[in-house]
Amino acid sequence: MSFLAPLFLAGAAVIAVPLYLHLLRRRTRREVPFGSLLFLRQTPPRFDSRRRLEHLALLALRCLVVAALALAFARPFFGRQMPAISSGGGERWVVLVDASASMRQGWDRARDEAARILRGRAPADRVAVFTFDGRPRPLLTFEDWEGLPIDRRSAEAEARLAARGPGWGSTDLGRALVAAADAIEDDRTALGGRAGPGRSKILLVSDLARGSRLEMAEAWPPGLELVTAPVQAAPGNAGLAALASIDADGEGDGAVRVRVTNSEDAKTDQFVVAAAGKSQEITVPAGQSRAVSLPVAIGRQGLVVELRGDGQAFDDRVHVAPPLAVDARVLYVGGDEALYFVSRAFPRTPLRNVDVVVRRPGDADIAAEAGQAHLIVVTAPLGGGVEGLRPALARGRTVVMAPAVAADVGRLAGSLSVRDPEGDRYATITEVDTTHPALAPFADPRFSDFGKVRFWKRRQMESSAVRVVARFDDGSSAWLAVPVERGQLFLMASALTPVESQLVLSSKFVPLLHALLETSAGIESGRSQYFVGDAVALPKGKVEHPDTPGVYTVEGRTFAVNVPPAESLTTPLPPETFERFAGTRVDAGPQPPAAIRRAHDERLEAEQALRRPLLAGLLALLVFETWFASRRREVAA
Amino acid sequence: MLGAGPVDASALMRIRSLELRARMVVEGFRRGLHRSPYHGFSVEFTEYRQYVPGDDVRFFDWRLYARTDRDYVKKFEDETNLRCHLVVDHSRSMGYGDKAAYAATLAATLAMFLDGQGDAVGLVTFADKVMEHLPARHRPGHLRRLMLMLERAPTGEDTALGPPLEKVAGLVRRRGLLVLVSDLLAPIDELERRLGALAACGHELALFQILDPRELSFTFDEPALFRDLESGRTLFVDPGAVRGGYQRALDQHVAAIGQICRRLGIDHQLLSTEAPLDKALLTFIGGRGRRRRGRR
Repeated sequence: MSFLAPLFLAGAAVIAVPLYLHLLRRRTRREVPFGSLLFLRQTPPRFDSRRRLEHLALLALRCLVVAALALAFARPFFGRQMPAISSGGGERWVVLVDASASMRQGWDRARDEAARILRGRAPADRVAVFTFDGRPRPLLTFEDWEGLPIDRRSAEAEARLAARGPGWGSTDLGRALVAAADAIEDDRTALGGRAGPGRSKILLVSDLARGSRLEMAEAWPPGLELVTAPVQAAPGNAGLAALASIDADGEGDGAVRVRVTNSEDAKTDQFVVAAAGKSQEITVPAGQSRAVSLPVAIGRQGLVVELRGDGQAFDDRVHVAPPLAVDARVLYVGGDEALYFVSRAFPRTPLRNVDVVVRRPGDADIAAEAGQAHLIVVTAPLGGGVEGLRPALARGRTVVMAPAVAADVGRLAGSLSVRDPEGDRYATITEVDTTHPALAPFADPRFSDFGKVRFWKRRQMESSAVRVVARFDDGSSAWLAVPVERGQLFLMASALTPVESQLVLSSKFVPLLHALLETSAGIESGRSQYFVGDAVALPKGKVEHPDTPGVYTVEGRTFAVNVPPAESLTTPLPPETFERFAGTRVDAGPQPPAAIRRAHDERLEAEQALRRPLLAGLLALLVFETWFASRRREVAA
Repeated sequence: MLGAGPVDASALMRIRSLELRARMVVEGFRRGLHRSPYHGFSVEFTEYRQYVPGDDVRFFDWRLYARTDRDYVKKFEDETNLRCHLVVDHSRSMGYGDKAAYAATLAATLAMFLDGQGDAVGLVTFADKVMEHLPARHRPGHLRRLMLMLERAPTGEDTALGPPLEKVAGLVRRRGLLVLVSDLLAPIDELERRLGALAACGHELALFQILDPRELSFTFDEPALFRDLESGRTLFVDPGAVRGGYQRALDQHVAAIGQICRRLGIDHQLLSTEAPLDKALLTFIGGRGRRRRGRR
């Protein structure tokens, strides 16, 4: 038998008290009043062996009570090897290990820290391990942990962690925390009625750099504890980021422009920027950034620019690819009023050369032009001429119809009810479906507010078979996406004129038309600079997710992939950042073997609960002792 | 109970009324007195003497003159009424057993007897100091007041003999009889000096020491915590172990008091509360008469 709190056994020494009292109880047994103690002298106490023998049963009972009490408090249990615990007791842990680019400097420490914590977990704990950069990646699930022998769990997790290593991605800490919380909730649900671990904790092993994004972890579930184990890199870091190397007039000047950012806790401010054998010294005070132009031409194979003088190397190289120009053709069919705005939405830029072809309704070559156009914008009823757009739709192009004309739509895509506007109250768009490819640019919270764009005049568009991609504040449809063969009709409730809406005057109009063009043509923006984790759309619809910085040439297209600039912000987040996570504390600290052993013992003791029958027996003994003692007194009386 | 035999003390103490208890003793005492040669002690006939002109003719013994033709007058001693003060211990130690009731009955009996003879009786109760004082009077209702005072339970603190006796000397100016009723369970360092001072003032003194039979013989068996009724102090005592020592100490104490009384010519009676009261009274009166005659 073992004891969880063996010190309480020392309490059994209290047996001496009833023993002593039994020997000396006659001292206080009876009080006799007497006239005067003038002639009396105190009799020295002495033990009475005869009396002790008489009260032996009572004494034994009382000693037994004390012994049972001490035994119960010592929390006894029968020791045995702890079996693999499938459920119940312990704690539920999700270990989140930051594997973003900034962790390349302190990865060994992070791995050691994670290993230390994993080794310290009690057998009853349920553990899952995630690494994360821009997105969380499960390394070891709760089920994996359960399925492993107890003595191999930590080693397996460490091995997997070592095999994965840090990446080059950004740090979306909020997303990782949400994923961890979800994993805990899923595990809790999966266990169902079974008694699972009581407490749940997320252990975060990270450099907690200022460049981490936390937006997604706004609402923190109650009862979930976040324990941070900071892995601080050496203070000070300077990062390098590529800037656009094209002048405003669209002509490259044969120079590469980069920006050097120095962190607030930097110890040095002298750097050298070098590329293709040329270098330039630069002074960047702590907490500031400087742009540098290096007179180096970007070849077709791209260029690597280096930053020297910085202690942390992971963000000291930036890859630059030559800009990618795109030619596109937009067919405009309609009046001049809307044309004014549409044509100005497609200015000529070095990266995009959009040719806007204008036709009037009734022109004979509309069908021919539509066949060459990447995007078609129709702002007037076409009548039978709308059939000329069908081949373009069949090739996957997008036809924007603003405002939507029921008859024209009916010819192309079946019935659509369009009613004339009612009332004079303006409306705003309050709901935008950013999952639609053309509206994806508005998914960013910075660009998603359409509240300031007023629509004075709008049609009531109703159809059951179409996708509503934007709604007004009264719930009616603002924009509809109607698939037609491989292409789509993009219908708007208002015309593209300031008389009907402010859309053409707003900052949303140009991105919207360009997004529609890109979706329709299947072209990219011409961007050649990407960051690790970005999706790179290739001409044949293929999408790449490069995870290593470098210059890539895929399917004839050259692009550069770099470390996200936010990773260069390695200054630790202020501690108050984590205040909103309830129960947050810093550094779980190691659990020594003794603690593991104790957790094991606690579980055994809790399972066996020997103290309960002991306490019950103790109560029974007390009752019996009371009865026995009173009976003795009666007999004595 | 009203017979000629001694009144059983324990039976007597069961009578609730102190006055009734005293009356029973006095009645029994008076019945026995018919056979007694003593006539009380307030107005006592002492002798005949030859009549000389000028003597008060009220004391001329006409019957003797008629029988013998001799002219004699009766001579009386102390023709004035006696003034008696009962000095009764009301300390808490008197609350042990029947000591307080016994002492009260003894004092009440004396008071009733003397009052019946026309003597003035007063009362002083004391513990560590004088608690109450009723001056000696002989008037209607006085005896009743005295009884009421005696009936009160002993509420004093410790027994201390010196200060109360000193105070009594101040309270009782006129010579008279002082009857001290106490257990005298207190140091007697000052007892002789105080009693001597009272005797020097011309008082006639009598001392009744009342003790419980258990105090006299310490008839306890079981070891126990003995609590002092006066101080509340407790003492673990094994009677078997201390009985001898207690008895010796008590005997020495009583003997010392006896010696003091003998030296001062004071009548000292050690009374157990089981002793018959009337006999105690008779012994006291007889002893007093003998002393007075001896003094003449």
